[in-house]
Amino acid sequence: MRLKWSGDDALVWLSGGTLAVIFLLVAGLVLIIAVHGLGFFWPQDLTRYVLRDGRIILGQEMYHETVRGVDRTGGTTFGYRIRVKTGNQALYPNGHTWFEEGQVVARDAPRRAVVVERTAGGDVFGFLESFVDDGRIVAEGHEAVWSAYRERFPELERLRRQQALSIELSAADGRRYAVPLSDVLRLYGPNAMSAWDRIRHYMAGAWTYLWASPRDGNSRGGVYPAIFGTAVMVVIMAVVVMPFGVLAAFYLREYGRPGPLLGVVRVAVNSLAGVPSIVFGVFGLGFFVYFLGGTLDRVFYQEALPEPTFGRGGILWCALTLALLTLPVVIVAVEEGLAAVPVALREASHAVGATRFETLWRVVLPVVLPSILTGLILSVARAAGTVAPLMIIGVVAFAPELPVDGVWPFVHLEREFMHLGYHIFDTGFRPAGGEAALPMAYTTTLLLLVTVAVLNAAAIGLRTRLRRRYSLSAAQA
Amino acid sequence: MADRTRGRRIDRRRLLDLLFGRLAALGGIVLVLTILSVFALIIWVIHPLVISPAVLFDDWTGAEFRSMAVEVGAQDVEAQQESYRGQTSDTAEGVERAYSLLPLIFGTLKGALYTLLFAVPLSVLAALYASQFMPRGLRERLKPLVEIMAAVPSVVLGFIGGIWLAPFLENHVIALFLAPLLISGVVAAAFMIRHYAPAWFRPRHRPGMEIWILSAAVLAGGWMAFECGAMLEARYLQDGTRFIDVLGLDFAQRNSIVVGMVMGLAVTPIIFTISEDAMSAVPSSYTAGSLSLGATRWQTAVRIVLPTAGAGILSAVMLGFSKAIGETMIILFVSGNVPAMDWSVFTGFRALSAGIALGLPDAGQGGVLYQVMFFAAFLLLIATFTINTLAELIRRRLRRPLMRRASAPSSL
Amino acid sequence: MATAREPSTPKIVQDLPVIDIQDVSFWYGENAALRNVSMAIDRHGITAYIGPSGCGKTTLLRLMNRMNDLVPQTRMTGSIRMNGKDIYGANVDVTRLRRRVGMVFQQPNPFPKSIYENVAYGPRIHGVKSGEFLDEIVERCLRRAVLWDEVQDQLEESALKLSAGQQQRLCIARAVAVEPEVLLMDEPCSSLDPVATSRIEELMLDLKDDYTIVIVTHNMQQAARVSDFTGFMLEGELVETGVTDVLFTTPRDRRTEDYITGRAG
Repeated sequence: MRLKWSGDDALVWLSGGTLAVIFLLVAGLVLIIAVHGLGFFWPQDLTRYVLRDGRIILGQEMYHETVRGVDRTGGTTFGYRIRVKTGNQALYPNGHTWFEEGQVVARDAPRRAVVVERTAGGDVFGFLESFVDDGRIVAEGHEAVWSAYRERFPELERLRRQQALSIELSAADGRRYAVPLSDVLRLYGPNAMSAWDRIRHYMAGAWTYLWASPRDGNSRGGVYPAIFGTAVMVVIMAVVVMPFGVLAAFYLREYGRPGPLLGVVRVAVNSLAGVPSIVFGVFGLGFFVYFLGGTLDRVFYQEALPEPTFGRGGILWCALTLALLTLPVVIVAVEEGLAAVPVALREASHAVGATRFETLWRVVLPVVLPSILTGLILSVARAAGTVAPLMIIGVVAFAPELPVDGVWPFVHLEREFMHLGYHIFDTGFRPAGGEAALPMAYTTTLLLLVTVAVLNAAAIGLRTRLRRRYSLSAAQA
Repeated sequence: MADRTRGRRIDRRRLLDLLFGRLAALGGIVLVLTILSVFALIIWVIHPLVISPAVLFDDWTGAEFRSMAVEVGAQDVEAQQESYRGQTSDTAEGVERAYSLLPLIFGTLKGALYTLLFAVPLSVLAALYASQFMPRGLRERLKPLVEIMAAVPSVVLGFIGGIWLAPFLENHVIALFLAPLLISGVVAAAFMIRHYAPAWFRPRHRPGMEIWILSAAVLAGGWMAFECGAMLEARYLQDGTRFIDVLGLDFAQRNSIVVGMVMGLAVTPIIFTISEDAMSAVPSSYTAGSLSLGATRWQTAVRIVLPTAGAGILSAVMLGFSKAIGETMIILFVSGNVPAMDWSVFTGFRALSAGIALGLPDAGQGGVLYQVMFFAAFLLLIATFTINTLAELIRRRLRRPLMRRASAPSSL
Repeated sequence: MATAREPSTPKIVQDLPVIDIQDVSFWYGENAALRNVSMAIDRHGITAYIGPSGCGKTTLLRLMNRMNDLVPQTRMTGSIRMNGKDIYGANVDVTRLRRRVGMVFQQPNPFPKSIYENVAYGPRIHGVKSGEFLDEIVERCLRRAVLWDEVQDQLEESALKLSAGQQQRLCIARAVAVEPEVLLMDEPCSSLDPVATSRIEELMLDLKDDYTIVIVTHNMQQAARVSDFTGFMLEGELVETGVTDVLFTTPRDRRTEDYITGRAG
């Protein structure tokens, strides 16, 4: 009897184990995103490997993977295969290489090794040899070249136009390689950096990430246009969705008389909430882009045809499509707020002769304002994370122009734009820069994840506070 | 004079009231029009296909279909470019036959099936645990976490699934299959230790401590699975061969196991939340009645709570199914997007949603591909609409007997 | 493992009370619900606890089959013995205890299953698998609860379709099906009309030959009608116990007198 009882309790534990499995899986994935995403800016040491076959390689270790081997007696051996980012794509194809750990004869981290970040073509690793101005060597040796670079650093932007200046480096195996100063973005020696230098470098990298445009097929630089595009689209969406969402919620809870129309609206909300996001995209393409946009083009932009103005994907159509997608989110949040308003409050207002609208405006609205805010936050979070419908109506991997700029009429609703979620998809799914783009994709993933999680946490917090406040008064009513 | 102004004021107040009422109704009507126009537009676009539906379901041969096949992924850029050529050539005659939607429908169902196989046992059991065996305070703190988990953008899950999890699992196939066994084993062992340990060894029982012990046990089990997997591979496999090579099966890195896991995590919050609600709504008088007869907590949970909440759980599973059908970004990243038609867990597939996302940007307005893509969207729309409506109906049916219980009749 | 197949035959020592409550105090968090309650419950009788709401009588009842184990943050001192064995002892199997101490609740709470399944539930969880034997148990218990004639043609229908009085008798049948020694009844008639109440009372009088019945009621007439012994409780204390007739006619304590004459509570 006692055994049976405890055996049953073991099953309880196993069911609890499933809960633990779910959360550990999610936590693990989030942890991996965080580690990869945050590590992106950290200046990694340059290691010099001397291999048994005489090769000397300078680079940053990307990862090592376990390899099994069989020794002479038939037993298994374990070893590591080290993958190293070598940079210098002109000297090393693909910019990385790998070798067995057993091949390494010696390794060290030379203090003078430097990283040159270039505007295009990836990083270059090596040792500073000389600073060349128009074929003339101005400085020679690590210190001299470094100080020559530092001298010119403040005016780097201007100097970039001069083709004559260049820095000559030597690779680990002695091969020389010249980098025109016009290509240089940043020059640093990670091995010689102090902890403080590294933090500063990290901050600078993070800053660049947030405020610069992407380079090198989205593998470097920043995601500013994507952040900006996402924000602008979300703002337009919110402006559209909030009035309709709030009105529809008021209709459902306050104004709608019980009857067929109310039932139909209720069914419509439920169905709309269940429509897959990609179907919204299909609808947006057919209705907004081709039908509305096509009509607009025929009426207002006749002279530009057949080149479409509004009749192709653009930020306005994306925003409108997402507004449809998030409409149920807003309605549900506002409705919950309206349901929490104590009946006594309403009755009190009606009792002093206020009309329904006056009651709504002066009594109910102030109470549901936090709920409306909750709806706004939730819809923004949802819109920021939704990518599928945008893929077919106007999001692009690289847009040369921002949707809002200084050129009249300042807001260009017809423009294609960049989006954080699509940036992840594009760099992760069909990377133009190969695997080099992945580290940055991790960072963008982390950014999007944190944004959405923070927004949702804020909405949940707001709602919990609201519930606590009114559960009391509702109990008294 | 005073009377006149007051009269006008009242009129204005009434007018405002009336106007706002109409405005609110307009909001409702816009909503109805939206959903109607979604249906109308899609049907309008696809109606020419009704005349020649053969385009959609035509027999397809591998050779023809290869033009549409996309093995996209970081590692296969060339095939991807080739496939784009294949897709954009929808103006060419004779390519039409390649538009069969059958593999896509099959892929959608396959993906949803493996998703449910992963998600349903996990989330229903977890919901059972949370609703029946977890201290109330802890459960209240769990709910926001689940809600945030539900809000994780699918592109994030897809990215990490496709870029990290898929290659990782490729190297740990044995560990993957060992994991459920070992995790259960370690959890059971942890239970035995805790239950049979002498009293002085047992730490003070605090409500909610269970879940931390469980987490530790699950972690230990998972770690053991990976160690054992690596050991077994080292012991029995030749240099460089993987377990999957020995099996001699078709293996794609982006396969249905990964889809099941990642999309499973995406639908878990839905299934968990709804079934947890249903189980928590089971009146405590039922569980008390069962316990008073000498049933154990587990017997009560399985024989009373699960059947009583059955309809709610069923509707939760259906909603999860519907979400899995419509999910796009995860499928794009982890399914491999190859239009294969087999049930193997080691191969990928191409689903309707991903097919639309990849195909529609290249389809010109009004072309056959355009119509076919709209037809795919139509299938998704109808399927999700039907399933969601059914789920809602089932959920309402569940409430009825429980409501009747709440107001107990008092006549003889 | 004992099953319903072999009727449990504990060593009955006639002069020993079935349940012996000694100096029991009980707290919900910081609130004391019971203070130093002691009482012995005799075999094959009906013991009733009366008292105003919140006096702790239900708590006391639920301590006897350890249903209060499920309430978090509670504390108990003292001991409750059943047939001489402490039911809060270290090696007590709670499920086995509950099987021997059945319970009928304030609100009829049949499971949302068929009438048959409701009665068969207890035997099933205790390991009875044979269909014929189950049929036999179901019929016997429904007859015992005087419900058989009313429901024998609708055994497969949902128990929720029965009237409240029938539901309560079904719950009694369900409790009887696991062959307990003691039946705890927590205000079993509080949600029933007078006719249904009197049928339950008749049933109780009928059952007391086989079972020891402990009933909690706020209805003094009911206690007077059915019980052999009565305990009066007030604010967590057991004020007075005694043979029912004596307690109702000549209470020793002033508070008991006030309560039964309607001056207080």
